[in-house]
Amino acid sequence: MSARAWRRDDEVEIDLELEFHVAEATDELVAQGVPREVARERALAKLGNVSRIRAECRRARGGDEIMVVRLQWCAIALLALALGILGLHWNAQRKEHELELAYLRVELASERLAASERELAVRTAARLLERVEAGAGVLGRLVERAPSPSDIGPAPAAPAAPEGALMPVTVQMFQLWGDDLRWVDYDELDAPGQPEGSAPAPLETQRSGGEHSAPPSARQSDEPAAPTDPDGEHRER
Amino acid sequence: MADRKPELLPGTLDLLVLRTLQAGPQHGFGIAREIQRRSGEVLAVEEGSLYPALHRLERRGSIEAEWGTSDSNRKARFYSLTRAGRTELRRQTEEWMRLSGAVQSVLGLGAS
Repeated sequence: MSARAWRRDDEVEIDLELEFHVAEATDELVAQGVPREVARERALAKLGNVSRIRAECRRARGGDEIMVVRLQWCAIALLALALGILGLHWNAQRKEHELELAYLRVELASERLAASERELAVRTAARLLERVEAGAGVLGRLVERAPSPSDIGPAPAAPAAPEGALMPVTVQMFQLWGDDLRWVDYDELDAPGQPEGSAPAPLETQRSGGEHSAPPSARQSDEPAAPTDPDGEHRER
Repeated sequence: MADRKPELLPGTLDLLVLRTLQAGPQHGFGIAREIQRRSGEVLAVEEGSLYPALHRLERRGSIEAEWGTSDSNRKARFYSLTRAGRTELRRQTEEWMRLSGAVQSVLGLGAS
């Protein structure tokens, strides 16, 4: 039986029992000739304080102990509820703090990444600057070593070919021999006295196959002069 | 003042209730009237104290209660003596006899 049901049944029984007592006492007085209304009042007065009797009966039956137990359970339930609420509140605060900490860590990592990127950019720019400076030095030296157009001089005019003769093909090359820069004819490249291997082979020699063993000047000395070169001389400028 | 009834001695109400119920089940009002009748209208049970005593004895297991119908055709709560109550009645009766004998001895009324 639950405490509430026990309390209801207990108090109902006590009230019914006291009501029976008053009714019997009233009947007894009525039998003695006392009017019923007066008899009931006397019966109630002789019984005493009904509320006090009801409370003593409940205490005698252990109702107070049940009330105490019930109050204890209520206190335990309230305490558990309060602890639960405090726990939820504490947990929510902890989650909030963890979230704030995570935000701070993300911001710190972003700042570190930005600083690293800035440092990398500065180092890269420094390296690029070093390379540019080095390149500028090399370019400056090349410019200093480069001959001016006045040093080279104007290109020689091609000789006038005899009328009716074919236009002699003169190939002039701008050749750099070490620090000396000059205009040379193409044929001069194979002229005797040139450092062996210092001049490229003439194109015609390359085209003629196995005849390139003899220099063009030698061929010219052995063979009659070509119509295009009646003097049989080589021009050198 | 001549019709003033003496109060019960402390602790004697339980003994009188158990002794009354030894004759058979009875409701509270009947127990009070039976004690009054057996005492020759000398002892008057304070009705406000009777019902808490009945519920205390019931809780101790000396008596048990059951709802029934009274002679006046009203619903009443009848009390009856249990086995433990009979044992308790014998114990309290012996204790009362020893106590009353001692009082009589002091008063010089007992047989010497």
